[in-house]
Amino acid sequence: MVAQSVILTPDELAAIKGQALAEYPNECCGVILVRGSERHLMACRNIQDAKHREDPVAFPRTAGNAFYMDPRDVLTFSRREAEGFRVAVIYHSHPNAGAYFSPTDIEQAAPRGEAHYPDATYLVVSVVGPDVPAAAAYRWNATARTFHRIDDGQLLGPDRDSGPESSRLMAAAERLIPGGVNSPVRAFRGVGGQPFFVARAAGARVWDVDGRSYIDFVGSWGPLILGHAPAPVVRAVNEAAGRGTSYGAPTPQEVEMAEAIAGAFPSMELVRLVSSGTEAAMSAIRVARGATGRDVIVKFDGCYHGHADSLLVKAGSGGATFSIPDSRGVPERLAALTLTVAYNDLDAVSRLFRGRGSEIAAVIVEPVAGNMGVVPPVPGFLAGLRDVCTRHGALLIFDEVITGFRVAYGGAQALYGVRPDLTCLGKIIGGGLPVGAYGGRRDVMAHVAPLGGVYQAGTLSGNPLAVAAGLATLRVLRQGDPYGQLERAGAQLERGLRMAAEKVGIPLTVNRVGSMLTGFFTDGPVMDYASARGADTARYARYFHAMLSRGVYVAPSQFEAAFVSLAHTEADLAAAEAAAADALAALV
Amino acid sequence: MSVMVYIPTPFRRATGNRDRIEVGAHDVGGLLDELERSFGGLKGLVRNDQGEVHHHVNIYVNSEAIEALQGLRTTLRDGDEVTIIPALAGGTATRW
Repeated sequence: MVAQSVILTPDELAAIKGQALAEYPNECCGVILVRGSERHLMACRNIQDAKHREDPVAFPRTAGNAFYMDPRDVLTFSRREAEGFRVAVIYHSHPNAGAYFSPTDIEQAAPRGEAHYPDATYLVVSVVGPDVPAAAAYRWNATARTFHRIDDGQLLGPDRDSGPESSRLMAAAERLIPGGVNSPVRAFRGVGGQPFFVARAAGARVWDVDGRSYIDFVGSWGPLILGHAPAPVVRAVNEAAGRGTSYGAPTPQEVEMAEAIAGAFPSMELVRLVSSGTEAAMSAIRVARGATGRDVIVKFDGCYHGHADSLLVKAGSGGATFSIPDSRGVPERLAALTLTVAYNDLDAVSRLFRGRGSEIAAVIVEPVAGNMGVVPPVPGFLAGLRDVCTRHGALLIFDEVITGFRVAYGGAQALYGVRPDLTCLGKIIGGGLPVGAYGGRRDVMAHVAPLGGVYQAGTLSGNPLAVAAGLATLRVLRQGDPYGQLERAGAQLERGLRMAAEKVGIPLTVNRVGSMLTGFFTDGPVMDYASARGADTARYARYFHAMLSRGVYVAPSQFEAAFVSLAHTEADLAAAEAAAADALAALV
Repeated sequence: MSVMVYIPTPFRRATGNRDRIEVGAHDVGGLLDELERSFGGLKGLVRNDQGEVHHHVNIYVNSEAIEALQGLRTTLRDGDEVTIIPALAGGTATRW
């Protein structure tokens, strides 16, 4: 059975039908509250009759006023939000109680107006017999400001179940780890359902703890350009571990890594290793502020540069998925120092500089955006940023955490021929272990301690295992024509997706640069955060589960990239294309 | 007089995602004035232009609906909890 995007268990459906029959001819209503794997169905009272008697004008007896949930019940479940419950489903029984559930009925049942609970599923259930799963479910699309139907004609989403062992582990994880995960997007909140727990991985494939395997296009969110557990990397890590896991003192391999980075990125004349992309971006900002003596940073809506306070403003990725423009806990006075502009809007950047150019320390940009889904720079955008920054004495920072060694060995700056002042790296240079790096112009980096007064440090910076994994990865990337292979594989996948979507008439805009791509469910074009947000995320959620049930793991969010690795074989790509064609056909 | 106001999900877009807000006011009407002053987005969501609470909005003081008390003139005491809840209602052709 194709995985559904509606989360409703058979028991819950039976309970709702039972309630509906008991309350007939009045409609029944209620909610399903969810906290992690815990689910709680709360039947609510329909007081439409009483409201009608009280005020027949405001509450007429029409199909459009079929139920009015007792506010005391709303109060009760609202209070449970404080305990961490979320209103996942708001249901009521079908107005035409018991008669039929035709396509017209389903259409009429679509909620009107704005969603009070934009993240909930609005469900209309028919009371036709306990064995008929007739229902229609709707989700709010915040961009289109309308409800979209999200079920496939029959209800029941238990098939989104992630396997018994994964479920058990998730329940255990949720007791100890916020949301059960150590990074929010892993919780599948952007697509619903529960994540699978990974047992092992090799090449292009991941196996979960229930023995299911998936062709992996997430690739640990970008680092695994060679695929999982490539022999040279595993060997290098094993050997390094035998020599000790950390010294907190300089090693020869750090010099080799700095040489490899500077060789690939001539703009990085001095380079400092850190332990994550977040650290790299946070440090680059500090250096830019320290070197220029200015405080203001410019970033682009939907670009994500890790979760440092200054950069968690209009960020994409987890932020895009959860519609959290700013994280709580980021002081407003700090966020005020981060100005945001639409991606690819050079005019807006120029206007900003005309007004406040003398305050701006740096512009930080993903030269190919990857965290609102893949959005390439329009011609002239990066060169234009270079020019504006130079004229105003601001620094240009390329966040190449994703694109570095991904879109070309020398990153996006080699691909587009634009030289930034500072560059942030991560992901691939760690070969799947935690590493980040930042570097750039010698005179700017000379501000970093111990040379200069900008402090930045790390117990595990330049960790020998991570450096060994990174060096082994880069060695493979210097042999043969890996980027040609990645380009061909990416192009094949892009073509397959486009053709499959066209065939079934689903609007899909595929953005791709080399081996990173995103298929946005929209007519497009997608060239900034606003147009990315126009994508139909409910449809993406269905696509995600349809792919997962066909053994293909793509990102559990519309606003992320798919990554092709050198481990994806012709057969893997063909299987993924076939799965996509089948999945897209099932969405129509 | 300081009371805690609980803001449910549907209204949090107007309060910068805050779910609890401490407000100093002597009665419910004054509390709404104060809230609307601090969070302009709440204007029109809770009361209409005439200052009446919308049909589809219910206000509770310590779990007691204000209709059963003194409406907008219901006086507040230190430590009271006020909850503003929009109705969940619908059918085939209306707001949920």
